[in-house]
Amino acid sequence: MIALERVSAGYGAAPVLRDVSCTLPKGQLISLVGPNGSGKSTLLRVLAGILAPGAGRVVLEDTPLRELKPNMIARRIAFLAQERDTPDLTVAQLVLHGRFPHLQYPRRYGPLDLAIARAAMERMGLEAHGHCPLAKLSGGMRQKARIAMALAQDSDYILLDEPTTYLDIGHQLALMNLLRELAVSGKGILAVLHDLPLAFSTSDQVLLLHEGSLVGKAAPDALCASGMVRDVFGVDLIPSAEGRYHYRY
Amino acid sequence: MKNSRRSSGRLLLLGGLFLLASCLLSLALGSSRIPLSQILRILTGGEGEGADALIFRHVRLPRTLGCLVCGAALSVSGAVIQGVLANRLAAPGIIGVNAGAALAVTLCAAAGFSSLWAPLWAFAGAFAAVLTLALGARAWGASRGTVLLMGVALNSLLNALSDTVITFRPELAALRHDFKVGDLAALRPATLLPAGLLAAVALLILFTLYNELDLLNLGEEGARALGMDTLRVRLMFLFLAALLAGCAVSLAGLLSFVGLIVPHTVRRLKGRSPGSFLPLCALFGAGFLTLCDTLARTLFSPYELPAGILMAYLGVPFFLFLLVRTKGGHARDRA
Repeated sequence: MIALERVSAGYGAAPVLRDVSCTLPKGQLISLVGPNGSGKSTLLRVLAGILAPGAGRVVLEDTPLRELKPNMIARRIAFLAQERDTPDLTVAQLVLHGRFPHLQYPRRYGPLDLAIARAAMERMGLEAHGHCPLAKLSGGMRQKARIAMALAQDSDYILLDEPTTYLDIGHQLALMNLLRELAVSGKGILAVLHDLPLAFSTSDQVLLLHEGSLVGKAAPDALCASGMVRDVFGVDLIPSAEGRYHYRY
Repeated sequence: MKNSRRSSGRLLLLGGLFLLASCLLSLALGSSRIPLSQILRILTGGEGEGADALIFRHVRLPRTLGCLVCGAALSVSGAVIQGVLANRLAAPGIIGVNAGAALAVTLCAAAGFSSLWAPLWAFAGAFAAVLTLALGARAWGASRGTVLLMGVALNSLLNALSDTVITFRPELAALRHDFKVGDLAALRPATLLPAGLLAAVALLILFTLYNELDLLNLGEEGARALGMDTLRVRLMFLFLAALLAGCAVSLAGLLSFVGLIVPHTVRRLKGRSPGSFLPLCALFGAGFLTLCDTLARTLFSPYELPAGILMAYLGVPFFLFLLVRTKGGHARDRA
């Protein structure tokens, strides 16, 4: 389990996150939702050890994160940030780099790493695109390649910042199914999502951030019934009989 | 992945043959032509103290070795700096790294230190310059384009400082001239061994760090998410790149564009396989500079054109071509 204990964090004098406490257990798919600028990406960076909290602490299975070396954290926690620039790599090179935290100097990818990377590409349906430069792929295919890299990292936890960006609705649902499978296989998954019906329909728990504070953390039905979604977003979510959620404006 | 390895193997063979041909031309051609058969005899100890043997040992061989060291060092230094700064237009001769080395060597000469120390002074100057640029860019959150502009400004400032030193110490003007044009004719054999050894060590270390260099492609956050201590790794790369640039500058002065032309050419030859990228840069860089130097001293015989001038004639059009190609293309503006 990763635990945030009264964490405040940010990039300047004013913290973006304020006194946030929550846990990410293994075996669950948790969605993180909130308006733009509410601190979702910052929360993920803190959980991944990329950003040190100004106050409070992050604990990974009883060990404070700050006591772990970066490669030790990366072996346990995979973090996919939002894509800003397209790396000058092929799909296979990108996916193979998911094995980087598992290597010691001089870092050479061995047969096991190649096999794991190949399996990750096959799982994402990318086996025919291994030699393709990322710059020549569509946004959706690049996103799949990045997720394959996170799979190759073979970590206990996967943090994803807006993983459904660039994906059409069919691929969004396929991705959420994959994340569900990963959670069932024992991994802890935390995904920042903007699509509230998708988040509420597919997650075990939903975390709701508003202006840097965690204002809700509960199962989708309980959070939906609490009225917090309307308070924060100004819309209602309506559950259907099949356990799906829809907007009511 | 197998195809990529096969393609890299072919490119390494091509680079090796190009280097060998350039070396043989450099050793054979000049004001006095030395046939290849005689070169072989001299190399195997069969030719004693004839005029050709003396020219070979005291002129051609040191100059060719100097070309190899400078070409390999500058092209690998360029490839590394481009990777660390995430800007393909960043080359040691453009962003002030070579100018920092030249300023340090000028100060070294002005202070009366032996030229044997020149490689270390040049390294210190190059490292100070690239560190200033990298830390400044980090502190101000500069974009890739801004980093390049900062580098160009730094380059101008450092060159102005060198010229200021020369203004007050006019007896060093000849040294400054040699530095500015980048001339292998001014190579001092005494500095070849220390500079060559330092460059060889830096190259060997860098050849083992190809996955780290490749990971910087993912950006700061992406590399850190995969467990890389990016600050430490970037500093290490800049240290080694500055060491290479310093060695080259201490031997041949300001040879612009080698660090720009060669990494780009290697990429265009599809040599983007991480493991072979830097060795290919070294092979093609060494061969290219050796060939340019041979052309520069033979094309207009009996006059010798400094290699740096010929490189500029080739490099400026290539640089402009790259500027046009990368206009608005962020994805391509990566190392």
